[in-house]
Formats: sequence, C-alpha cells, structure tokens
Amino acid sequence: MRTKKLAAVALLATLSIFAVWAAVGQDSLLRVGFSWPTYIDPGVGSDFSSSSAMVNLYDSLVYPTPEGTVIPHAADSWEISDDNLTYTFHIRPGITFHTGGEMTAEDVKFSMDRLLTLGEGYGYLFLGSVAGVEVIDTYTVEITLSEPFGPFLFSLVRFYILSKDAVMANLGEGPYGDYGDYGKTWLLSNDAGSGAYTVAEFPFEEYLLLDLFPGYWGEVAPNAAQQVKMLRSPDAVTVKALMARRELEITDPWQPEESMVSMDAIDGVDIAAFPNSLSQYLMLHNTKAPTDDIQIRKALSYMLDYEQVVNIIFPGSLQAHGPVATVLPGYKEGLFQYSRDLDKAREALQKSKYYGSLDEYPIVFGVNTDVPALEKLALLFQANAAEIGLNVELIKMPWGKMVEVVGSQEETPNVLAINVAPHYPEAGSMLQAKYHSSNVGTWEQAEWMLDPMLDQLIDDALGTIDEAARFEKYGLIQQVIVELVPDVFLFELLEKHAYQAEYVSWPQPSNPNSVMGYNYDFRFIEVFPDRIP
Amino acid sequence: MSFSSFLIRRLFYSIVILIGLSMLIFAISRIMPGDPARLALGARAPDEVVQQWRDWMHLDDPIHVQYYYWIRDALHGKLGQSLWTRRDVSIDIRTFLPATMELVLFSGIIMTVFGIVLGAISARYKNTWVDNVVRMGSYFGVATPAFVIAILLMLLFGYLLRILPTMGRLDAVFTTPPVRTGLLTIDALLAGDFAACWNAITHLIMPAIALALGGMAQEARITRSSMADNMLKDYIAVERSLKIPARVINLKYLLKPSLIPTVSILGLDFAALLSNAFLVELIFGWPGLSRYGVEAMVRKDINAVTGVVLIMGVLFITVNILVDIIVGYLDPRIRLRAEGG
Repeated sequence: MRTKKLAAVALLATLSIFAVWAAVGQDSLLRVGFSWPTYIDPGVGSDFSSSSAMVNLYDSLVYPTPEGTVIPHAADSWEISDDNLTYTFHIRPGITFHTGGEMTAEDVKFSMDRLLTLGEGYGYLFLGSVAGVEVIDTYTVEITLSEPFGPFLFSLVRFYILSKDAVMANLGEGPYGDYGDYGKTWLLSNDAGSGAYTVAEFPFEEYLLLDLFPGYWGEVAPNAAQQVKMLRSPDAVTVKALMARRELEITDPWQPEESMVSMDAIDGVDIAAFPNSLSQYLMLHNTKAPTDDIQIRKALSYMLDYEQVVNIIFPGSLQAHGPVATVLPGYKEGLFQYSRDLDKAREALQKSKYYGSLDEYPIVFGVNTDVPALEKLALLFQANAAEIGLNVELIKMPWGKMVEVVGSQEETPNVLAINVAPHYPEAGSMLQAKYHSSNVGTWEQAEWMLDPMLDQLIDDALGTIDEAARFEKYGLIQQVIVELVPDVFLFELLEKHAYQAEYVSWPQPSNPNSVMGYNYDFRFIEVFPDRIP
Repeated sequence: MSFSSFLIRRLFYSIVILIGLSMLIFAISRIMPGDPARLALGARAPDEVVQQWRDWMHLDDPIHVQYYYWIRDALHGKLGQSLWTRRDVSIDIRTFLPATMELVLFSGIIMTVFGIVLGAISARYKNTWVDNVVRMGSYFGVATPAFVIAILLMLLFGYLLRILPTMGRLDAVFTTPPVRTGLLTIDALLAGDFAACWNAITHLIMPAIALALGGMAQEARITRSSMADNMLKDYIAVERSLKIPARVINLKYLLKPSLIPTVSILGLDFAALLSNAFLVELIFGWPGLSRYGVEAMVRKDINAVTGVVLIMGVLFITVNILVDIIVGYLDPRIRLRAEGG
C-alpha cells in the first residue's frame, strides 16, 4: 500500500514537470550558442562572442554594410580635413543610453580616451594612430590622427560609445588615477551602452541574457526577439538535443560536420552557410631552412591535395585565392591559384638549393592539438610531402604553446596551420596583420618575412585616403605576396550554423557582413513563436 | 593516544600537505608554456600593455617572490585575478564551487546508497541470477567512462524521450532562489519554492547518474565481496545457531563490518567524482568548478589553476578525514588501537 502511494506521488511529480514545461512558452526568446568567454566591456572584448554582444549593446559612430562600406550610425554625418588628419563627427541627437541620458560628444571623447588608456580589446586599432579627441560642442566631436590612415572610417566599426556618466558612477579601485579601474569591474556584468539590447542577466559562466531596449533610436524588425540569450555552447550532443527540443534557435559555428548533417535532418531546422572572411593558412617560415627557399615553398604549394582539404576535411570551404578572403573589400581578383600538380612540385624541388640533401632538412609542422581537423590536415600534408620525397615531422602542441613559439624566430616551426580574421572590413587589415613587420612574432604572422619593401608598400597603401587608389595598392601587394609564396593559401572558412528556419527569420546569411559580430545584430532577426513545430 | 589526538595529528599533517601542494602547483603553473598575459590580451595588444599586466602579476619576478605575493594575498582571501573571468579567483570559486558540490553530493549519495544496497542484495542472493545481473552491471559501470554514460543518457532522456532537461541547473521560467548555501535544491527549499527545488533536482538527475555510475559499481562489488567473506565467519554461524533473525544478522552484524572496505574506498571515489566531473559538466552545460579548472589549465590562467587545485586538495583531505572518522565508528578496533597508542 505504501509502495503504491509512493508511486502515485512520483507520477504526480513527474507530470508536474511536463506542466511546467508546457507553461514555458517561447515568448519571443532567441537563444544563440557562442564560444565563451564573453566580455561585454568595449574596452576589453574583441573575440567572436564579445564582438557579437557589443554590436547589440552599444552603438558605434558608423555601421558596416555587407557591400564593404560604412554608413552613418551614431554619427549622422562627418567631414574630413584636407590633410586627412582631422575627422569631425556630428552625433545624432536623441540617442538614449540604457542607464539614462543622451549620447553627446563628451561620451565619444570619454570612450576613445578610455579605449586608448586601457589598450585592450580593439584599442590596438587606434593606438598610435589617434592623436587626440576634442569636444567642439554638445553633438560635435573631432578626432585627430597622427598620420593619414586610409581605413580609419572602417576601423570605427570597432569603436563603441559608452555613457560617461554611467561609467563614472561605477568606478572601482584601480591603476588609472582619478578614473580608478575605469569601470572595468562594473562593466564585466553591466552595460553602459545605447544599443538595441541591454543586459538583463549575466551569470558569466552560463549565458548572457539581453532585453530589447524600448527606447532604442534605430531600426528594429517588427518581430525582433524581446529577449535574446547568448548561451555558452555545450557539447555537440547537447546542442543537437537542444535543437530537437526547440530550446536553441541558432547554434554556434563550431559544430562538427557530422552534427550539422544530423541537425539538418530535424524538421524545421536548416543550415545557414556563409563566408565570414576568415582565412586558413599554412604559414611557412621564410627564414628557416628549408622553407627559406622559395622553390621549396612552391613545391609545398603544388603538392597539397586541395580537393581533400575543402571537400573532406573542411567540407564546404572555398579554396583560397591568395592572402585575402574574396569577400573582403580590396580583394584582388584573378590572382594565381595553386592546384595539386606533383610534376610541378618535383620541378620546383629540383631547382631548390637543398635538392640532394633534403634528408638533412626535415620540415617541422607544428600541429594545434585543440582542433582535431587540423591534425587531419597535418597528416595529409605529411603524406603529400612524402610523395615528392620531402620529410615532414609533426609536432603536436596546444594553442598556448603555439602562441609562445611564434614569438621566437628560432623556435617557430617551418609550418603552422592557423586561421586569421580581419579586424575591420578591408584587405588592409589582413595585409597589415599578416605581412607587416610590426606584427611579426604574433600568432597572426609566423612567416618571419621581415621584408622592408612589403612594409613600405603596406604603409603607403594604408596611408592612402582615396579608396579606389588604396584598393589598387592592396591589389599590387597581394600580387607581390602571391609571387613570394610566404604561405600555402589554403581556404576561406564557410561559417555554418544550424537554425530553426521554421520560426526564425535570419536575414544576414543571405547577405553576410564581413565584419565579425555584425551577422548577429539581433534587432534584425525575427522570431515567430506561433510557428514553432 | 586518544582518537581525538589522532585526528588532530591528521589535521596538522593535512595543513603541511596543503602548503606543499600549493608550492608544487604554483611552480608547475608558472613553468607551463605560454605567456599568460599575452594569451589573455591577444596577439594585437601593444607590448607595453602586456608588460603592464606582467608587472602587475609579478611574472618577471623570481618564482619565490611570486609565491610570496600569492601567499600574502591568499591569507587576505584573494587568490589573484583570473585571466579568463577578469575577476578575483576567490569570487570564481565561490560562484562555481557550489554547482560542483551539489553535483558531487547528489552523485555521492546515489553512489553510496545504491552501491551498498546493490552490493548487499548481490551478497544476499549470492550465485543466483540476481547476483549475476548486479555483477554484470558492475563490470559495465566500472569499465565505461562517465562521459560515455553522460552522452548515452543525454541521447536517451534528452533527445529521444525528451523527459529530462538537457543543460544548466534550473529552467529559465524559475527565479533563482536567494543564495544561502549555493546548492540550488537546498536554497529553493529554504525559500519555500518547491517547484524550483523539484526542477533543480530534475536537472541533476542525468549528470549525477553519469558521474555516480562508476563509483556505484565499484562500491557494489566491494560490498558484495566483503559481505560474502564475512558470511563465512564463525560469529555469523553462532548468531544463526542462536536463532537471531536473519534480517538483524544481515543489517547489524554483517553489513556494518562489511562496510569498512567500502567506506575506505569512498575517499578515492570522491576524488574520481571531482576529476570526472569536467566532462560531465561540459556535456550538461553545468557551470561547475571542474570545468572551470580544466579551462584554466588550457588557457594558462595561472591564478585560477592554483586556486582550483588548492580547493580540490582541501576537499579531498576533508573527505578522507571524514572517512577515517566513519571507519573508526564502524570498526571499534581502530579506535581502540589509536587510544592504546
């Protein structure tokens, strides 16, 4: 009898679970998976999830378009001085901060001063180029550069404006004199922005919950989600379960291909795939034997089975056409593209100064153990190299070790497989990051080219204000780089997400933005809860 | 020496062990490859900003100087800033530890209770089909890693049947109860929110079972083996001859001494729960300390690594002292031996 009572209680309790779940409606909630951590402080964050959050929490002076231009945003107009050193921005009146108050030129100055002082996040884009910021009147601010910088307007898509009053009201102890910690502690879990969404809840280890800001000044789609939950993405099995249960609307882009295929089979779920301007390279050490020989680098470029790379190991990706992704403004069309040709590979090898003593010069390939697919890539490279008589040694290392070894010219291996993303929507961002000597010894540049001619060409291009002229110079640089063969240009990554196409309208994948984070401008993503299967 | 003196000595040695552990892990974390400041700030951060961080973290000081600064701050309750969360590690531990403790506690209860019960049943019905089923199940539980169990449970109950929640600690519809213990189930109960308490329990079911299964299987096997051995002892035969009821013999005179090896192994099983928790926390999106600790190691978050290892050391030592006390209660010979010096 007692057993039967216990069973009845258990059954009632179980049924109550379903009752609660049934009561949990979608209520216009958009849940999106992201890699973690997420830093919502515009002076700190610069990775994928942080950038996506900042796009929604804050406004920038200009906004990037999918076509590769910028349009007015928080600034409704601007002028550039004749010497191209002074930019005068006119702030749009009526932009309200989440914490209250209107955006003024004072907030713009404060935000830039803060970004430059902290030196973290996207601060590097402006350090050394921004000489000063001056408030002219309530809605007019002047930014002065130390030297002409052609992509300056484009780089401003990474400059987000905080409420000075909110930050100053929440200063903590810190090393910045009267500014204390510059609000860093408070901004770990709060926002001082004016964007379409505001922080509702932020248990850092789990998710970031955003509420639609009713006082937002800009365009918001009629059925934009009232709440957005940026979730720390769990294991692939869990993601699949969440998608099947309609407890996740958009996955992160790092799901294994097998998971993507099985999620695609779920009713109402589609796969959105779009290029994201991220390029994968095999970076070759240009000053270490034997890859210091251009003929060896050509041989490696000819020997690789690109079909296997883009169809099997990284399915759906596009073989690269040179050092810059095709979707980036300033990309030069018609550049020479390597394809697998073992005869040409052997021919190049025979022209090499190391030919006949190749056994004495093994090619060391540093493999990032954090990404299983890169290990497959390294094994393919090794097998292809053996076909033409080249000895490749694989050395596995975690990402932390890789970042350390590239800081030393001697320790950097002959080959490293690393992907690089532009930080503003222009080819110049990639050229500067990957080939200018000022960035050598970072994980974005393991080639050790140290080429003063290239440095001069890049500096000249970046200093060119006229866009057409600048892009022409970018084209020339890309041509030079392809001829120098500093890398094996592998592929452009296709970003893939599974999403609930039945009840979510996500317009960005069909016209993607090349700037990281802007395809997750949630005010344009619509949710229709009544269409949930 | 009295039993209490014995325990005080254990406590003293535990402190010595913790100090040694802190030195060891501190040294290891400092020699791990990678520049923690550069890793935290990214490739593009200016060298002067990276150097500012290195100066602030004393990374260029001799290691014994770094250790001095760390101990000095630790004695004030600060364990240094995490390069990942950008806040003090002590705050992170206070945030993440309760989630892991709740999971480990729940798993520990499942592991202990079900392990002992199954082991007792298996011994009682020794060499019958009941015994064989329990033993086969034990082999499966011991041989199968926790994360495999976790994935199987997720696929079955989360994906196919959809009767249990898949991630996190509480459904979004519930308000998080006021924090008193950090254990959501207890806090919800204390707040009188029984629906939230039940919801928190449902979130615990799959991860706790996944974590507990290996230890439960082990406990069952050891209990069964120990009871089977003790069944053949003379004092059991005497009790049977005196017509003492079988139930009294099994529960009072057979089970209690048979639990000594089981309880002894509990300390190691607890350590296994903590170490296996990482993958289970990953699969179920559980915001726990194990996952935080492993990610700290991957990111070379040196302060977090040191803090987490220390906390794990404290937990492990505490559990083993508790085990010693329980074993001393179960086996009076141990107490008497200790008191006899």
